[in-house]
Amino acid sequence: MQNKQNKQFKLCCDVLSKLEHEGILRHIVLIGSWCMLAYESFFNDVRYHPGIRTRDIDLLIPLPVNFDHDVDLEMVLNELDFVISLKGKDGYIRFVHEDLMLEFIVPERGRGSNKPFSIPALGVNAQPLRFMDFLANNIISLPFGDITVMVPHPVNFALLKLIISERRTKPVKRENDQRQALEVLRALLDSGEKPTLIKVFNQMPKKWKKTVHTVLKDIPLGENFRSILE
Amino acid sequence: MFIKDMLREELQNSLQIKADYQQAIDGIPRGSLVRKIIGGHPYFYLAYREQAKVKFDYVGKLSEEEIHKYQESKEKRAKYRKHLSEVNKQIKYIEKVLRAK
Repeated sequence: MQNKQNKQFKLCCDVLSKLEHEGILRHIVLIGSWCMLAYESFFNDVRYHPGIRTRDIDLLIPLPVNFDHDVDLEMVLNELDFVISLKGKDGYIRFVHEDLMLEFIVPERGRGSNKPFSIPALGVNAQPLRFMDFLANNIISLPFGDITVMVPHPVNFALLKLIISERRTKPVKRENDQRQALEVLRALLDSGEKPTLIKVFNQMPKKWKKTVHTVLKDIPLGENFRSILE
Repeated sequence: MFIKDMLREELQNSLQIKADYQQAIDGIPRGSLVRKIIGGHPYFYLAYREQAKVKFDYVGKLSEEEIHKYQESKEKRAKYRKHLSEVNKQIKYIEKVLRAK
């Protein structure tokens, strides 16, 4: 299992290095469970366990899309033996490998649409998802292997995990979101980030705050964090 | 329960990856490039095994660049087959774990 995790981590680093080499990593934010790994350096003075990761790597492209040159991403990732996979009836492009699956995501704006968002500069499309601007608006850079990668601030990551957990239909996804959120919230408090947590929380829309409270009320150990966010 | 649900999801992912690698392999010409000299001129065939027989599909004359592309395709196919084999192992392993009580 450890070997497998190392293989996955190395492949993830190889992917990010390729994107950096092509000059596009600075336009991409690592989100999802894989950014939990990058947070290890943010929380290096406190107890922190990134936990279980699936093979999905989610790469957020903040809007407006701002690539200053074209990159044939299919060719670039093919060098690492990724193949293209079309997901769902809408044909979202995903790059798959025996160890990892890469997906591109953009913030969903307005009424939203199920249609893939085309990114001609990369020859791919991305899935528009709600709440992604909340992640894209508070970005930090952290080391990941030998490179530096942009990730959402852990406060935004944890709060969003709580919000989207409430929308999950699959219990396993919901539970995983909540586990990750609590792990990051605990590490944030241990590392003295309580003022940042409260500040970001207070800036959130009322409806989101209410969702965070409801979710924290219903999960074990959630009450401790709920009282902080009163 | 949580771990088993995660494994079920990973199994679905593995099955999808298996289908995607299979599709990629199907899209690559099968066989090895074989050069035959006929009447003093080199002609190329794609040699592949079909059950007990080795078959030769006529390709014709090829430029150096085209030969290189065939070689690359052959290497790619071999790599994909290796990945496919690993994915099959993953599937077997996850199914075994999910069956365990």
